[in-house]
Amino acid sequence: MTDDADTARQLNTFLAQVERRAFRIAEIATRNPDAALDIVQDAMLKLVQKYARRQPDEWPPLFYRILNNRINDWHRRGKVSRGWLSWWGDWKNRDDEGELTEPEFAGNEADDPMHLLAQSDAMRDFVSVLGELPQRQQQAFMLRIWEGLDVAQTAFAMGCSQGSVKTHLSRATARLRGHLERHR
Amino acid sequence: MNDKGDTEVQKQVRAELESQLDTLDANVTARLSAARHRALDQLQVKPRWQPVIGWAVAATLVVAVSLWWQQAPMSSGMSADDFELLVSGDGIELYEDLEFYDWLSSENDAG
Repeated sequence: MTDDADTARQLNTFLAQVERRAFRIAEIATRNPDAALDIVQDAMLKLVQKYARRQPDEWPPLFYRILNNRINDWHRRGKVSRGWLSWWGDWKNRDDEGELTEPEFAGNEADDPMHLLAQSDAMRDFVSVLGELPQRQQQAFMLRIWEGLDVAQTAFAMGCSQGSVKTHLSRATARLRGHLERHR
Repeated sequence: MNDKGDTEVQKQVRAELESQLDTLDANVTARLSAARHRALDQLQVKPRWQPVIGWAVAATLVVAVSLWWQQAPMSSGMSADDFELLVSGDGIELYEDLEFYDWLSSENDAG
C-alpha cells in the first residue's frame, strides 16, 4: 500500500518534470500538436503499465525509448498513408485512357507568399532548423543536449550503438552551427 | 569543427528550447497534466486486483480437487448387491424396464 503510494508519487514527479519537454520533442518531430499530445500520453501510459516497478533512475531512458518508438511509428504510418494517397491521387487524375490529367487546384500552401515569408522567418529560428534535421540526428540532439541523458542512456532510448549516437549528435550540431554562422 | 564552438551552439539551442517551454499554451499543459493523471490511475487499479484474482482461482482449484478426491472413492466403490445385480443378466434387464413395470402395476391396480 505504502509502496504503491510511494511509486505513484515518484512517477507523478518524474512525469511532471518531463511531460512538457517530451511534448516539445514530439511536436518538433511531428509538427503536429495533437499528434504530439497523443504520443506523450501513450508513452506515459506504457511507462506506468509496464515499468512502474523499475527503479526510478531507469525511467528516463525507458520513457524516452517509448516516446521515440511512438514518434517513429507515427512517421511510418504517415509514410504508408501518404503512399496510398499518392497512389489514389495518381489513379484519380488519369482519364479513361490512363493518361495523366491536369490536377485540380488545391490551394497549394507552398506557393502562398505569406507562407513563404513566415517560413523564411522561421528558418532563422534554431528550433525550426532542429525540426528539419533527419529524425535520428534530432533525437540524438534532443536526448543528449536538452534532456541531458548520457551517451549510454541515449543509445538505449534510440535503440542504437553509442557510436551512432555520437555520430548523429556531431552531424546535428554541425548543421545547427552552419545555420548560426549563415545568419550572423 | 571545434568542441568549444559545438558546446556554444548546443548551449544556445538548449536555452532557446527552454525559453519556449515557458510559453507553452495553457491548454496544452492542462491536457498533459490530465494525461499524466490518467496514466497514474492505471497504477492504482491494475496491480491490486491481479494477486486477488490469482489467489481466488488457486483457492477454487484446491477446493474443487479436494471435493473430487473425497467423492471419487464412493462413486467407484461397489457394494456386493450391486455386483450381484451386474453379473446377473436378468437384473440388468429388470432395471432397464423398470418404468414399464411401474406402468403395468398401475394399470393392474386400476383394473
